[in-house]
Amino acid sequence: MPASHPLGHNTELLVTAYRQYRKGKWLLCMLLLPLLLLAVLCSLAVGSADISLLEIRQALWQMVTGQSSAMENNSGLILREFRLPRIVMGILTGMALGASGAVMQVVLRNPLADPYICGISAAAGFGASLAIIAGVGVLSGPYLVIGNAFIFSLVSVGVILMISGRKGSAPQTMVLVGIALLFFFHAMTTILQYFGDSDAVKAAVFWTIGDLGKAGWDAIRIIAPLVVSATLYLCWQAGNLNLVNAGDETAQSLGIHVGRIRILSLIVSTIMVAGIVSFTGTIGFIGLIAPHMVRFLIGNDNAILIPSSALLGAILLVISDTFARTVMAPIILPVGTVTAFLGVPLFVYLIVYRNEMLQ
Amino acid sequence: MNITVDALSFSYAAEQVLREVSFQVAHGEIVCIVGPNGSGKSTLIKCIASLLKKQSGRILFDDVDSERLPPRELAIRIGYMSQAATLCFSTTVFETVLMGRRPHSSWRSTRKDTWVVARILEQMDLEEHALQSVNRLSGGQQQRVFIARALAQEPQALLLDEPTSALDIAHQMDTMDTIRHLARTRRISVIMILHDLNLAARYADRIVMLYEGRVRVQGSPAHAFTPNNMETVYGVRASIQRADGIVSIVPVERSRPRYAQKKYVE
Repeated sequence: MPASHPLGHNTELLVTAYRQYRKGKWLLCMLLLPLLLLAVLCSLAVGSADISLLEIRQALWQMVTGQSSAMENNSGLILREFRLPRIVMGILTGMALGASGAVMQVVLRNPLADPYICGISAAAGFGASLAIIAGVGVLSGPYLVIGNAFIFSLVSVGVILMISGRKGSAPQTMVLVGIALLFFFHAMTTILQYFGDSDAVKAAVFWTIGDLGKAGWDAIRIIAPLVVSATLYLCWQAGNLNLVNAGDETAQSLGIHVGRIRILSLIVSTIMVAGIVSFTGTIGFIGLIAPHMVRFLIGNDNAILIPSSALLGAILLVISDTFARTVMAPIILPVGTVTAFLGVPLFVYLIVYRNEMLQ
Repeated sequence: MNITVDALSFSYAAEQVLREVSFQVAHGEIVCIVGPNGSGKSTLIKCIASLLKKQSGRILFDDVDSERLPPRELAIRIGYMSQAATLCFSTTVFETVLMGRRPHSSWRSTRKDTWVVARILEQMDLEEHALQSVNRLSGGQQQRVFIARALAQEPQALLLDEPTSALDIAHQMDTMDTIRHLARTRRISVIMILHDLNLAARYADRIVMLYEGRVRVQGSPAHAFTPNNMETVYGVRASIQRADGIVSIVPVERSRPRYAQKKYVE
């Protein structure tokens, strides 16, 4: 080595440059938190009834301190029983769809993969239709529809794992089986609707349209631990998922059980999304667009990608829901349609812009 | 690390690909596996890397049976570069090479990991691309990134499947010089598959020539690359020349045109 030790000096520069680069990426990820807060505040304030920031503060304070509801005014009631549960459900759903979308794309090695690629939404739709139209269900009472939707979502995932397990959990097999199941459950739902009573069919169709208003605080108490723990698990697996991104042979040669990581990540992601779908119906596009926007803005390192996709998914869904509640107020549009209306132009713009940059 | 491959056999379903292959690699030795398409070279290297489960035989790393080593332990000892290394979603060069540190680190990389990666990027002449996306590099540069990732494992042995196939002649020599330097200075044992026989003859300490899943010949380049072996294994009449102690192979004509009809199993 020469006297000036250029190798050591360059190494130090390179390490410093990488650390700064990584800090910048994490900073971008952290910036999503205040953006989410801003989206939540806007969503709380905007709606059929105008509520000031002062009233929001008072109402939230009352909720936190548990003050008597006798002191509560109309604004407080609207916030606590209507807007806040929608927003919290929106955050949880956006997180679940964003994080699981990012993971699905890696484990299935498919940029078009989203949380519904395993036929979850179609299976949940069939389960719900079976309960609503035929009155047949695994559980009874208020959980008849939700229980059916959840159980059939899991059946769909179970079939995929069973079949792809025989073929060595190849990503292409999983995607193809998922698409086949999607058509199968759609066909089954169509048969139910064909023979069903028209009011029941209408109710079943309405159920499948994604809507955050279906769920209240009870649902949130069930869903929140599931989404938070599953998202944390996926973030913890980020390092292994980076290796899966490098290909099965490389990942295996770097000491991980690729099949095990793939199947566990898939199970955790799909159970989380199945839980969400059971309460909200199908909300499309967030699981596809949030990870791709993060890939474009921040990069493909899963350690930053997964939490960022979760946060961006939450932001997009809260904004979409606010839009859905206000654009034709007092009519509330299904949030699933709004995510597509807002998401598609943005997504196409990003794709075109990225291609231009690459050229 | 001493590597012993002893009577290794492997088959894909009914198709026998490797038949009782045996050879040894000493500390710091470079062994090149050569042979025509379908002779079982990639299958052999995957069996040594424990990516494929062998049918019979033994693979020993310093007298320890490969089957007794857990995957992570194996990854600390052996760096493998696949013939078809790609990234589904492109990461930066630094992040890609950092993957090679995974067997050494826990769930997140350490300070030492970033230093090791930075040093290797310098050695491989990749520092100016460190923060660029791998998919935006040329094929040759990408290949160097994937070799760098295997080196980041700080392995005692390197298994490389055609490490120079996408490189121009200058980068072929740079890469092979780096590999030889590592083998000599760090006593890393190297097994690599090369289709360029002249490159193999120039850099290999020993050649293992495969033909129809068997070792046809093994020994020094001068011993392995003979007109007779070239004709039997490749179906090519070749003139073998020697200059400054380096063997060079000049193909003259095809002697066995029907060879092209053989089934591709590699």
